[in-house]
Amino acid sequence: MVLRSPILNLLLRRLGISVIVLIGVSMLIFVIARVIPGDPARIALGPNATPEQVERLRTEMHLDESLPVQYGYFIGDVLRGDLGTSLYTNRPVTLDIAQFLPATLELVFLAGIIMVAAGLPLGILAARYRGAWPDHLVRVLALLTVSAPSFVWAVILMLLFAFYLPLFPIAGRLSDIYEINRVTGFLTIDTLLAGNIAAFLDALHHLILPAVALSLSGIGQAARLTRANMVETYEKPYIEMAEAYGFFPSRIARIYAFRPSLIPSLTIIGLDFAAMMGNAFLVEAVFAWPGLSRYGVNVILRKDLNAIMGTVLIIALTFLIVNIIIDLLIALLNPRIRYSTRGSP
Amino acid sequence: MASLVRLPIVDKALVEANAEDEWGEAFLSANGAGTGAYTVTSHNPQEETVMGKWDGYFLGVPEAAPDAVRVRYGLEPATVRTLIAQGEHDIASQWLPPEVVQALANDGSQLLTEGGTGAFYFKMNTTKPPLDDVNCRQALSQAFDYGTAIQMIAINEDVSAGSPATGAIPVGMYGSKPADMTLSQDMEAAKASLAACAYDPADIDIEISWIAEVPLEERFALLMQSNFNELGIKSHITKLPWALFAEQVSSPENTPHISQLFVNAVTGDPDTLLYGMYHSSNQGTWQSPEYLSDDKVDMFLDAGRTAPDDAGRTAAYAALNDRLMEIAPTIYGFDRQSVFAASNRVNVPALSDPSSAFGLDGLGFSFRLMEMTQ
Repeated sequence: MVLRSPILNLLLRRLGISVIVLIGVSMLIFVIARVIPGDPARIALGPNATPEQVERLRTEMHLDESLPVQYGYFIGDVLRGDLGTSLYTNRPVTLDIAQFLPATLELVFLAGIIMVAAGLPLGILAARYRGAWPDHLVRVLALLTVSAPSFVWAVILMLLFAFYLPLFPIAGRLSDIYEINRVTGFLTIDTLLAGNIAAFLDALHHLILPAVALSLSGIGQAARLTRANMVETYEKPYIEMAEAYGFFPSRIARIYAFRPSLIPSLTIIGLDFAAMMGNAFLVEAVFAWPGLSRYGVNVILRKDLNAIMGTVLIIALTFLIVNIIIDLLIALLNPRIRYSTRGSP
Repeated sequence: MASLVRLPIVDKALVEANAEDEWGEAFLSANGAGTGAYTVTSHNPQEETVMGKWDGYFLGVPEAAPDAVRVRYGLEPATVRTLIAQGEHDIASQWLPPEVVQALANDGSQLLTEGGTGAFYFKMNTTKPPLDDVNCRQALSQAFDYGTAIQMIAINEDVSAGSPATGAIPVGMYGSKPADMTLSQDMEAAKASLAACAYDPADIDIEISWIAEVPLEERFALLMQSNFNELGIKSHITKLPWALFAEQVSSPENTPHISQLFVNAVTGDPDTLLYGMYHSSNQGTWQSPEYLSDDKVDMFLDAGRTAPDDAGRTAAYAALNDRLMEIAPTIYGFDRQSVFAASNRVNVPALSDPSSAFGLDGLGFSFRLMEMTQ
């Protein structure tokens, strides 16, 4: 047995599991995409195509083969880095993903930052003043944000801050007056690389409303969970002892109550973050955001098999990466988890 | 003929130089290669296509025409309303729900219209029981509340997305009936027709579909469901995305009992409206989910297509109109008029001044003939 650091062990184990999960997801989606109603060749060619044209396309797409053979073709292409051509955009799926993924990631990253930056402090505030009015206020706010879906918030925010108070733009990622060379696809980065601060601020301006709409339900969840965990921690004897020693309440809240309470919150935040990739669809639709979630729904509606597979795999991969990062963070924060992995294969 | 007036003319050398497939489809789906007044400057299939003025156009491009045109895709109605209010959008799509168009008009937007050559149809699958029985189809046609349908599409007192139908052919075209002979609900006649139907109403369950991209159609589906319920006929409503609908209609078994469709004549000639819908050689396209096969209809359509003069064509299409009313493959909802809410920064004579309107479907959107006023 080779001795490795516990964190490296954990990382290798998670990577191994992720590969298995990805293969499982690809098989599942491959089958589901093919059994839902509709002939992809007919949908792609339209109702005016002749049966011969449809049959020719079916053959080109290997749809006349058995499912295992079709899956074999798919895996072979994926290993060559080829996800096929999208019947929706008539372009390589890899090109579509490269174009649309950065828009969604940029949106989800900012939404994730807002979720953490607002959700955790609100949870700490509610726990610190548990039973008092700040606690009640945070609980009501959390309930409101959790109970209404993101697209409702998207429309409400748009009406308030774009229609009645025209403070924010509501469509697209950048104003027409700016032309920025695409480097990473992340406009906030590309504008900075171009040295165009005005364009950077404009890109950020376009991001704010959709990111806030997407983050609101996560903020509520993070606040509620952090509060619940901290309230439980406040009951622990060592907190009582810290209070007896006369430590400042803010120090007790920040160091002794919050840190141990962060671990369950981190798990949920990680899941929320990954779930936002899929949930971004309606927010992207309301704000005309050209992202991957919207693309995913469009290709599902058109039964665009290659694009469905590509989109789902990318979202699954993102989900797995975020989960690995969260697992590593938790291991760093909690020595018991870190050392329990020692010696694992 | 219907497709000839839309034949795209492209720069052959440019396409051949860039084509990666037989017809250069991949290249043409992302690049301009045409000979028109505007050229594509950028294209994102999920967001927008941007076009710039091309001064080399052989007819010239007026100074007042927009310098650039952005065609935005997939905008939500609430987004369109806000964009127009913010001055960031000029002409909305015709598929906005009437109340959004109404709200935009109340906010000061102008209403542009294009119409007269198309209609809104509720198409019945004539191969599927019980709609393979003409009496049953007649019963549904007579039970439909045409008056409420017209109220549902009114934008304001002056503008509506349609006018009452008089038959299969919109008023004003060859073979159409006078404007005052409008269709109306007749429940007594519907009950009589249903009594003559070979199927037991208790066993009937009609599938009414609506196209997911056109929210207005859901309301018509609900209206029909209510009307048919009065007759004692059960029905259920199915929401179909356009792509799935277009796939389903390729076989009569998968085609819903009732499909809702806006169909326009490409040139204002009834042939371009009716031949694709009703000739038995055209079954199972998005225009013809009726799967109609009727010798007389075929004969009248062919007669209309080959008649050498206006009188002959009028006679053929009038006979066709009567025959289509008699066998009722379709509920003729209303004669359609497309309504577009638009900002006041743009002037579109072809869509606001009848003397400047074109007889060709969609030609009102010739960008070079639009004028920016601000």
